[in-house]
Formats: sequence, structure tokens, C-alpha cells
Amino acid sequence: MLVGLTLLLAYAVLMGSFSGSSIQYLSYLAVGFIVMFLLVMIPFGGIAIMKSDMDYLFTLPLKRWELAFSMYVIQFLATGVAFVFTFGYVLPYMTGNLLEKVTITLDMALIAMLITGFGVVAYSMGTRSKAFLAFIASLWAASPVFGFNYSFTSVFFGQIAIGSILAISVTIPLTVVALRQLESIELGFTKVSIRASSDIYKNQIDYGHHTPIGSIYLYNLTQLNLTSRLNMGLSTSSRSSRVSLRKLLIPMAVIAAIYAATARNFGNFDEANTVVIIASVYISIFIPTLFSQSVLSYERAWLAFTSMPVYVYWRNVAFSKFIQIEITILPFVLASAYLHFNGVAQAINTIPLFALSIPSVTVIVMYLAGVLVMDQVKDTGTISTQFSLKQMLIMLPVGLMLLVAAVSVISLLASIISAAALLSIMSGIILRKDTWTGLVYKLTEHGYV
Amino acid sequence: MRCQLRKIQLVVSNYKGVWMLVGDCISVKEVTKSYGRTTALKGLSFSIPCGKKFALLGPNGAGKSTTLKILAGLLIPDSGQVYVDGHVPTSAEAKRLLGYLPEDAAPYLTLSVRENLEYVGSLRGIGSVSDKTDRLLDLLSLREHEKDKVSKLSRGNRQKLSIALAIIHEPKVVLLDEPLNYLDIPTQEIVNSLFSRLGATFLVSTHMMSIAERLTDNVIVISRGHLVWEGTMESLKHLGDPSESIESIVSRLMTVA
Repeated sequence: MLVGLTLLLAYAVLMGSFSGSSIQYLSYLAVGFIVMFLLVMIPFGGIAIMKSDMDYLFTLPLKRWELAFSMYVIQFLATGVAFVFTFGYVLPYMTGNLLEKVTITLDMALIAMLITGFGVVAYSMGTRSKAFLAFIASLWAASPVFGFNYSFTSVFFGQIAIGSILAISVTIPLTVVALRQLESIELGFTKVSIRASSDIYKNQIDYGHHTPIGSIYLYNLTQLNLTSRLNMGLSTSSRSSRVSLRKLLIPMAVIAAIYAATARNFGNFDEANTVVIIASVYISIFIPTLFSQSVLSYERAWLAFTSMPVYVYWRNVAFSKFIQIEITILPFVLASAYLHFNGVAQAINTIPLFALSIPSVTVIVMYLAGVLVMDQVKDTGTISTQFSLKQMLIMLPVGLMLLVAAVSVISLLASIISAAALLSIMSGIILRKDTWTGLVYKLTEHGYV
Repeated sequence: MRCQLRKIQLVVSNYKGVWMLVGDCISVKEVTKSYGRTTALKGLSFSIPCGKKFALLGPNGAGKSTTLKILAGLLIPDSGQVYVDGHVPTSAEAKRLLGYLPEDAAPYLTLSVRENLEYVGSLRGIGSVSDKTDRLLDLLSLREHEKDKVSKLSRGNRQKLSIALAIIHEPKVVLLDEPLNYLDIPTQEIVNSLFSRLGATFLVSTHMMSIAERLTDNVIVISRGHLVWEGTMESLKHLGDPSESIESIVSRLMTVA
């Protein structure tokens, strides 16, 4: 796995070196990534333990403090693997002397530790405390964007000394607290949701009066199952939260409105386009990652695949997933159309990206998750198997989407062509009968049931 | 015109004292299946007449679960033939006839108990899903949990729900892998009687001889992927001394293989 991580780092370095020279743009992107990690890891981050650890390792006559450091290292790896990607965005800045380069590299490691520490410390907090901590930490991380330099992220805005001192002075005590927490934390249960959840579903969905195909669409168009392990924060506990699609539209509409208002209010062309680029990049990463992998994790082969021919079932699941993303992303399509007619002409370029490319890639990632044999979630609370580097390959289409998003924003023609290409790939996957039957046999051979 | 070749193997059977001709509801012929370098099944063959209840016994790694997964259409054999009431297991016809309960079955975690039953009933295209759901909720004492999240259910209630999901469409052929796991004794009795009322063909994979005796009348013993012994429960008991326990007899059969 370490060899794989090294290759991943090399890839990030390479990508970073070719990712352009707009220092200001990359500063925003690096800070944005850190804020995103904080917002995901603090409320949703779990402790990286497996069920077998709870059943066997913690029952051995070992003192917990002897295990705390190992647990921290695993936690760091769980968080740090995805964080490695951000290294690529930082490297182009490293134009200073050797000392500055080394300092920024160490800062990145410290920030990875900081995010790890926050995730551990927040684990046993209540809902409101988690939300408050996530808000404060991300606000502090984002503060250099607004000109406040006393933040650990100010290293990305040229304040290497201040940023480094702050990173050290926060990370070290936080790591100590995290280690103490790992020594004593109660692991017999795992909090799996941002809020204490009820034992019942208040809104029961009536599947009893639908056709088989109708039920598949009803299932996928009324709820979104949150992803399990390989989400953006690499949170290690699985969860089974179901989110109403109707309710999800509210925050999506609010974010889209903020996106439209921010881009519209920037007076000059370059700044407005920067907002469009950043929004496109984030949506292109977030949606395919968060909305795709849980489909397989929560699927039940013994029920679904024995009910009807496998290809019929999957074909409809995949298409309903495409529609689900269309609905979710619709506010952004409308926001881009609004911007196009209100002074940000280039915003129209993002419409094929939002309306076609992102839903198509989500379905492709969903299929890829099956090919890479993602874990099936049979119980909530702990991860179901060990980390496998192969599963990290799921990030590759996300990397591709960075490119697609960038190209799409620049040119409408490129946006249409890439959308058509991705739509064709998705259609090929959906329509080919053998794709799904082969996938099911492969999954079953790997213990998926 | 699409033509489905239907394989019917006629056998003579004694059902309630009446000699009759029936077809095999499960037919496995010379089936092999490997996972990489590991061979799970090596030319396994057996058949089960319609309406009969068979236990599938064997040590760990004998190929029991693989056999059930192949019969359920979730795996394809490397070679050999498998039929469920004359249909290949992956066909829509076989899926309509078949009910499958894997070991440690997990229903849909993000649905409630009732939603699980209605969703699966609807996927199977059965009529009056709500009525059948109500009946199973009452029969298995799940009524008070009908709105509960499955992820919050106790292991026993989750198993009851899984059993209900496997038989909601009243299948003609039922494949069960350790069906009575996690169930208390009164619930085991309820489930046993529920299975009996189905009047289906059963293939029950289990490690527990007591469960095999309660749920089935016939035994198939497999070891290392091939058939070791096949016969009625009574004839199995007669393989050893009168003082020898049935577990000991089965253990000997598996070891000899």
C-alpha cells in the first residue's frame, strides 16, 4: 500500500506541476480543499477500526495506550490518502528557496495531522458541538481568503512563517488530545450520523402499489443513501442515513443561489469566471463521489438479483441514478442559465457539464465501484474490510472530471463534446446486457450477497 | 417463436402413501466451480424431487454456500448443468419460482421493516403486496417493528424479516442457508410451521443436525465439492450403531470423504 501511496503522491506532484501557474486561483483551491475536509471529517469522521478489531484486538490483554499510536497512524492514513491529492495543487507555488519548499511540505503534513486530530476529537462530541467545531475550524481555515492572515492556511497566501507557527501550535496539542482520546474512547458503539437518529422512519414509502420497475424508480428517486467508506473525507465508518431527495434540493438550491449571486456580483470578467470554475470543479468532484458508491454498498444481491433478470434491474437502477443526479443538480443548471443571461456569458459552457457530464460520470463511477468490488455494508458503525489500494482507483474518474470541468468551462464546444462522450460511455454501460450479469457474478464470487 | 427447452426428469415418488410421477424441482449435474486456484465444487450431482425437503450437510468449505448461490442464479458454474424446475437459474422463470435466504442475511438497511417487505414484494411483481406484508408481519411477530429502521433491529428480528423476504412470493423452491440462526425457540417453531405450510421444495444448508432433522426429511452430504452420501434421514441414522449419534455418523461420512 505504501508503494501505491508513493505512486499516488508522484501522480499528484505531476498533476500539480502541470496544473497551471495562476497562484491566486490555486490558493483558493487549496484552502477550499482543506475547508471541505474539515466540513466532512469533523461531523462525519469515524474512528478507523474494523469489527474484527472490536471483537478480537480490543479483547486482548493489551493496554489501550499501547494501541493508541497504531490507531492514530491508521486514522492518519485513512485521512491522509485523499489529502495527498492536495499536495499537487500546492507544488506549483513552491518557487521559493529550499527552506520555503521544505516548510510548505511539512505544513501540508501538519495540516493532514490537524484534520486527523479534529476527526478523532469530534468523534464523541454531541451534534451541536460537532457542527460548531466544523463551522469554526473551516471559517478559520478560510479566513486568509478574506485577508485575515492568522490562520494555518495562510502559508498558501505567502505568509509562510505565520502559517507554519500556527500550524505547529495547533496541531501538536490537538494530536496529544487525539491520542488521549484514542486511549480512552468508548468503541463499543459508533456514532454514525451527524445527529442522533430515531429508530423509526416517520415517512414510510408505499412500495406496495407499484410495478417492479416503478418500485426501482421510486426507491432511487425518493431517497439518497449516503456513501460508506470512500467518501471525500475518507471517513471510515459506514452509515446508512437515507436522505430525502426533496429535502436535498433545498440546500442544493441555496448553494446554487449563492453561486449565482457571487459570480453575478463580481464586477470583472476574470473573477466571475473564477467562481464558475471553482463551482464546476467542486460539483464535478463531489456529486460523482458522494452519490455513486453507496448504490452498491447498500444493494442486496439475494433480494434484488433473484427478483428479476440482473440486467433489467441494474439498467433501471443506473438510469434512475442518472435522473436522481439530474434532479439534484438542476438548481446549478438554472443558476448557470441565469448567469449567462446576466453578464457572465461563459456560464452557459457549464450547462452540458452539469446536465450531462456529471450525471453520466456518476453512473460510470457507480459501475466502476462494482468492478473494483466495493464493500457491501451489512451493518452500520464499522468498516467491513481492510483498506485496499485497488479501491482507490475509484478516484480516477474524479481526476478525469477535474479535466472535463476545466475544459468545459473554457469552451462550449468542448463542453458539449465531453458531455456527449461521457453520455455515450454511460449508455454503453447501461445498455450492454453482459456488463451487469458479469458484474454480479464477480461481486458474488467476492462474497457480495 | 421463442422456445424454452424444459428438462423434466420423471421419478417415482411416494407422497402420503400415493405413488406418483413428479419432476425434479432441483437438478444439479456434474457441476464444477472454482474461485481462482481454489476448486469449490468438483463434479457435484444431485437432484431433488418437487415438494421434498433436503438438508445440505458438509464441513466448512465443502461448497454448500456455493451450491446455493449457483442455484439462486448469483453464480454460474464453470461446467455442468443446473436446473430449477426445468429452468436455468438465471432465467426470469426460475427467479419467479425461487426463494433464497443466505447465511447472515441483511435486508435493505435504509428501509423500514414494512418498506423492505413491500419493496421486495413489488420487485417480485406479486399481487396484493400489502396484504401479504401484513400477514407476514403478524405471523412473525414483526408488527410492532414495522416502521423500524432495519439498521436498528435486533439480530433475531432481522433474521425473521429476512425469512419473510425470502418467502414473500410463496416460492415453489426455497434455498435456505442456516435459516434458524439467531432465532429463539418459539420463533423457530413458528418459522418451521410457516415453511411446512408453503409446501415448497426445500434445500437447507446447515451445520446443525438438529435443525436438519426439524426442517427436512432427506440428506445430501457433500465434502470437498462432491457428493458423499444421499438418502433419507432415517437411512442416515441406520448407517451407524444404534448407540451412535447422528452427528457422529455424519462426521464420519465427511471425514471418510
